[in-house]
Amino acid sequence: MTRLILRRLAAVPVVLIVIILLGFLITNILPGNPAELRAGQYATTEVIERTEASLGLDEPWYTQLRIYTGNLLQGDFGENSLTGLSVSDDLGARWPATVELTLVGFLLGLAVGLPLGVMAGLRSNGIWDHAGRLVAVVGVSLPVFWVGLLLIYFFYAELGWAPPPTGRAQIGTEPDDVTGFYLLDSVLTADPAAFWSSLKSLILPAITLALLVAAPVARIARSSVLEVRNQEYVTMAIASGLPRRVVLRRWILRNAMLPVVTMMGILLGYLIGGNILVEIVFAWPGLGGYAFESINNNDFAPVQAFVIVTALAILMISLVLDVIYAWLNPRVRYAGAED
Amino acid sequence: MGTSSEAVLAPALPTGGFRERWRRSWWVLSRSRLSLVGLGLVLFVVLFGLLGPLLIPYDPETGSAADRELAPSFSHWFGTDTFGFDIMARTAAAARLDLFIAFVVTGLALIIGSVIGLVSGYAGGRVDEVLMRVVDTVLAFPAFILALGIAAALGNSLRSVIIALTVAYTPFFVRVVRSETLARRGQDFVLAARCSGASGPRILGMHILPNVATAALVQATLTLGWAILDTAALSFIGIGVKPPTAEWGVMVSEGAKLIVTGEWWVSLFPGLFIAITVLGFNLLGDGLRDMLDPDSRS
Repeated sequence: MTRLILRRLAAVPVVLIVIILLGFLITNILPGNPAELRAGQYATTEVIERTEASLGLDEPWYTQLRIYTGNLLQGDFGENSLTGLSVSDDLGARWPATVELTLVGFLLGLAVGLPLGVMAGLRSNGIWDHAGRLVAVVGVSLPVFWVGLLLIYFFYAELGWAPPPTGRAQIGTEPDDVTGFYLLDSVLTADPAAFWSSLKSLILPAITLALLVAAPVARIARSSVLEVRNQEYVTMAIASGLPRRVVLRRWILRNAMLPVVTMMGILLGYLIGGNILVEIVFAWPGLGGYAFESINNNDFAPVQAFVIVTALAILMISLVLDVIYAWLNPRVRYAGAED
Repeated sequence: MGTSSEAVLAPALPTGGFRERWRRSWWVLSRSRLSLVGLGLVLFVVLFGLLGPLLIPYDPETGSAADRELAPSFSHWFGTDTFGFDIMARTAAAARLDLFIAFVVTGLALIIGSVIGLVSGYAGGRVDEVLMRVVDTVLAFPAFILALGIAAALGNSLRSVIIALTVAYTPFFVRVVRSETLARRGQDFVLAARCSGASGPRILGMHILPNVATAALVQATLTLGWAILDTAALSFIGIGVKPPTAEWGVMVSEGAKLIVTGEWWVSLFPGLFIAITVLGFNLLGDGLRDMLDPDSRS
């Protein structure tokens, strides 16, 4: 198992280089001159050239690549051309919003998708199974931004149950900043009004993200349970008179969950992709919303930072999941023991 | 799995000319009801896009100021948007554009991915190892984020989106075609061809390609759906197609500003067409996969 982890870790530098090169390409090929943007609308050619020099944009590309890589390794993503603020600081202020939303959405999606999938797999070809399969295939076909808008329409514009889609909490009710996670902060500062307000704002975007997770999770859980259920060792366990619940828990579920764990890495990546859309729709002040603003301002440093941070997050998640998978799966756990 | 599946599925049907093959494909397809539903949905959207201009008495890119933000009615079935454009006419125009982009992207990824997959699987060794390493790296990222990065790098245009999505989807085809090629490489008919002096390209083109084509086509059907979703999502966030061009993602984003005040129709209809089209391709692709590969049938 140590060998497996080491092998996975060995692949990390290759992926990192690809990510850095991609980020560099984004910085340097995107149309729209950052110096022009920084210097302002009415700047003369001379001012623009001076700004270019101060940003190092007049250097040859290999010098730029060296400077860029150096900065990146120090965690410096450059500046937001519009505000002049450091992109790293902006990201630092915004990541808790994204993580909070993604995590709640992901857990909610699992909580709905897993039981549905397992039930459908245990009773395959029943009416619930067919209904579940249909819901799952429809679920993966819906554009997530559109679903978010429909939820806003029903629960805010029509019913008035949800707060307006304007961020993480109603203005004036935000919790005091401790960790940046609103739900956690309002608990830590014992502020029920802030907790209620943040929770209400979180529900719709989290449900939107959860739909993105629940459908594929249900699908994979179903086919996995179905496959394990028909294995001979399950028949054997049932035949030897073990209680159904024990067979379900220790024979079926344990084995059926392995493909689900593998799937989770892909799903989390997929979720991070969907996250930017949900953040736009709900004006959620996270990383995705930040990237969106920057795309529309033709400001490439933040977009590049977004892609790099996202790529790193996905890389880390898949590493962790690989380890969890190895730990769950005895075949992998013991495979490297002899050598 | 694949070689025997045709024999299993259509044992009594004779093989033969184009018409026979066509009839056999149809027979396979018609066994799966959900595939037929999927095919129906796709055909509906295609026909809607093609016949739209003939049936809808409005131009998708000229509106009248007097007709702004009208709710659906008999004169405007899908209502009108902020600029007084008829949404039904725009949805039809967008159907043509979105399907065009999806087919171009999928076609490119299919061709490029199949060539790489065939070569990688047939050559094996060092070439295969390097190619697979690259493919795995690309596959580690969600296609949407990858496309976002590439499209931003290449400049904000429709061309960039097509290139970006092609790059993002090609590895899937490489994967599918490579594994099928690996499975065929050592089989007797390939050995026979090689013994009779056939060249590498000839073996790949004449003997292996026909056998991997079905798997690649199933992947292509699913990719068409992803392409529709990702194109719309990218233009929704402002990359690629821009207003006033009629595109589903652009149209949903125009309606996003109005949804809080209750004007639901501007976003509803284009989004509904995205959902219908993607669902169609997904049902068709799933059904085809189940039919062609009975082992994975669930």
